[in-house]
Amino acid sequence: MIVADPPADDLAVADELGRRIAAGALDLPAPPDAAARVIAAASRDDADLGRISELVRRDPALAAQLLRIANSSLFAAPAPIVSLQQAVLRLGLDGLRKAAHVVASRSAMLRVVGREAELRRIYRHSLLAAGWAQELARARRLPVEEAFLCGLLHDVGRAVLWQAAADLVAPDDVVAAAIDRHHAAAGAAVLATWPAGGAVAEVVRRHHDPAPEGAPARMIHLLALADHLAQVAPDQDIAPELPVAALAALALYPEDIDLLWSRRDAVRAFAQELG
Amino acid sequence: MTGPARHDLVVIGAGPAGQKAAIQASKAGRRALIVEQTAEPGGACVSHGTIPSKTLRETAAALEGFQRRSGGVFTIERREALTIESLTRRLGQVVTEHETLIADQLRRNRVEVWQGRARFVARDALEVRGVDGAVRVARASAVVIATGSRPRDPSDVPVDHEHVLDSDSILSLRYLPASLVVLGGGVIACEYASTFAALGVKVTIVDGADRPLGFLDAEVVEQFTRAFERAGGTVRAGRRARQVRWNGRDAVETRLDDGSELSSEKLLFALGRVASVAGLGLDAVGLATGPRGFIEVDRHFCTAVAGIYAVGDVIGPPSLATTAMEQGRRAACHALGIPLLASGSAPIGVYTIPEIASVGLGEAEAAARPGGALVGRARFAELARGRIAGVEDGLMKLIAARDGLVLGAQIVGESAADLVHVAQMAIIGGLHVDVFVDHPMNFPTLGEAYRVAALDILNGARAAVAPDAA
Repeated sequence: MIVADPPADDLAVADELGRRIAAGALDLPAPPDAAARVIAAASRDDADLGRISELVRRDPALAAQLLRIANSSLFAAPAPIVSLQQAVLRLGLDGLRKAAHVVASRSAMLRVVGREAELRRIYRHSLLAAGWAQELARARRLPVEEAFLCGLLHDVGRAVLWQAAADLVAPDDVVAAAIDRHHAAAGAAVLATWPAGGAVAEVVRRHHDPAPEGAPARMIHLLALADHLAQVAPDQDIAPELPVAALAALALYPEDIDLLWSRRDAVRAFAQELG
Repeated sequence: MTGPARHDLVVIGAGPAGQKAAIQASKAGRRALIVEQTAEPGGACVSHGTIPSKTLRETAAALEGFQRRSGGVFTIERREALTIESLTRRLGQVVTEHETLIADQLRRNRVEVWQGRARFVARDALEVRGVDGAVRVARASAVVIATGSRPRDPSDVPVDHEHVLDSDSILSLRYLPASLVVLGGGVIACEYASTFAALGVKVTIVDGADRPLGFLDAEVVEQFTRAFERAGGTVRAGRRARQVRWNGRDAVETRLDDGSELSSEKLLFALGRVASVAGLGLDAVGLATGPRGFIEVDRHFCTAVAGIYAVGDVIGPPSLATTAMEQGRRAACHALGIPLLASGSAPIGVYTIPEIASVGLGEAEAAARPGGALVGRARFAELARGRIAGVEDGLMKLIAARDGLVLGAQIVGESAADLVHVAQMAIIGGLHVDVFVDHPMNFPTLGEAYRVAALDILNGARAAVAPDAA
């Protein structure tokens, strides 16, 4: 999502949200236990698919979601997968981690009562950003799974802040502007507490920094670009929209962008299947 | 399109070869321009080549060295979820510092840098297009192509950069895999294979040749192979992969030409690199790559087109940063008529665990000279420092003419890439092996290997190599 500066007279709302983040007063959503256990188990050196299968079996909601993802075109199942065991085998360790993160982000982002439509829109945007981040990472030989997670989780702070702002008396557009300003910091605060979230927290915290420096700079530029691509309609001309600093940092030239953009239908289908 | 800019030398590519070519021109008071497609100078060497791989290797080598030296007193346990990122935690910092260093060096030497993709429109003119599509033209009487290489894109191996990786994407792995099959037995293949093996990954090298690193001394390679196998690695020499496929679940399955099958969590495809020349418009100036896919040059690095030079990986092996830098410097000197001393003897460093280094003549080449050659050996395990450090593998082969003139050295073992410089200076200085006996080195150090190898030569008999024995 693109951040807009809130009008000066609305700064009080933004200040209050900023104060709550700094004071650690946010209600940070923990990923569902089962998803967290799957992420941790699939990240172990001695990860055992049988044991993970058992973990998934104990949570019907997670099991249903994994079955759906295992049947998506992302994992190109030659025939419909009907059993959990088949799903776990089909997904593999990398796929299980991805799927568990999708389940976790979904549960974290769609939990605020009364804001369902807005949060569903953010969630769909996040899935698209995850798809684009993955494409960009493949094109630039950057870590694909990390890029996917950055895209998936970059706006998780928005959901947290809609919850945090529930008691603030202010018009929706004022709250939205304040959330625009602080969602990256709030997202980083959430992710710092998640299993395997630490690696992406810094990227999420700085994903609107137009000139990032230091080690994660390339991933930050990648996420900024994925964020932009996820907002462009498939029939739109993308070239004028893209941040030149990110294109320069990732050495993406017009012909590279044309090639990436030719994958837009596949990326949208991917996001739709995950959602 | 903006008007043409005029320079004395335009270099395409800011890797080690390109940097040195441009800096050499600038130091001679000429106007040098580098056209580089990425935002930071350094090329593959910095972004996903030498610097990142050596940073990971440094961690692996330190781990291996500590375990060896502790003699079992300390045990090292890996964290359960060991990420590559945690092993290369300093990597981002190292890369950034290196990029800053190169950028500063170019700035200090007044080398102009344009970010963009270059394409020949004439022998002395390049069209440079930026990421925003804007075009400008660079003109110079001499152009140096230093665009490097990229992994070969095989039609029969499904490189997806997630399960089946190449040498540009292997370090984008997030987690250390439990097992890795490496296709290839060259420098890149062996460097990554031994690094991952030292980190506890079950590694299998598959290569069609009789032994890996075929261009190096067989005795030295044998020591490396033994150390690699002791670390848990396996070498399947003389075998080729017939089929590679990700099973869609948990493993990459590789079928070899003898019918056997390997199953691994990840696979590294490291069977060759090709010149990065796409989009350069070589045909516009009548230039083409040779039968092996690289640009062909003469001993001055001139291509078939006057005024156009090529250096570094784009001209093919040995594809080492050290060699590339010297090629860049020499090409610039030739292009601009700058006098140059005779070519020195450049060393080769292979950063396997243990590392391998070579300079000057090998045993076979030296033995083929009139009068033959003498070979002295020093085993690190027999040196005081070697015993202190618990070194099991390590060998220096010092090669000399019959009169004792130092001709070359082949070394495998800890610090080989540093140790070899002593032999390099001896070759450049025209020294005889006596110098290593008459002038003691610090005790206890691995440098003492020079004295032991020199004594072996002076003692004669078992080191002698008959010219027809090679």
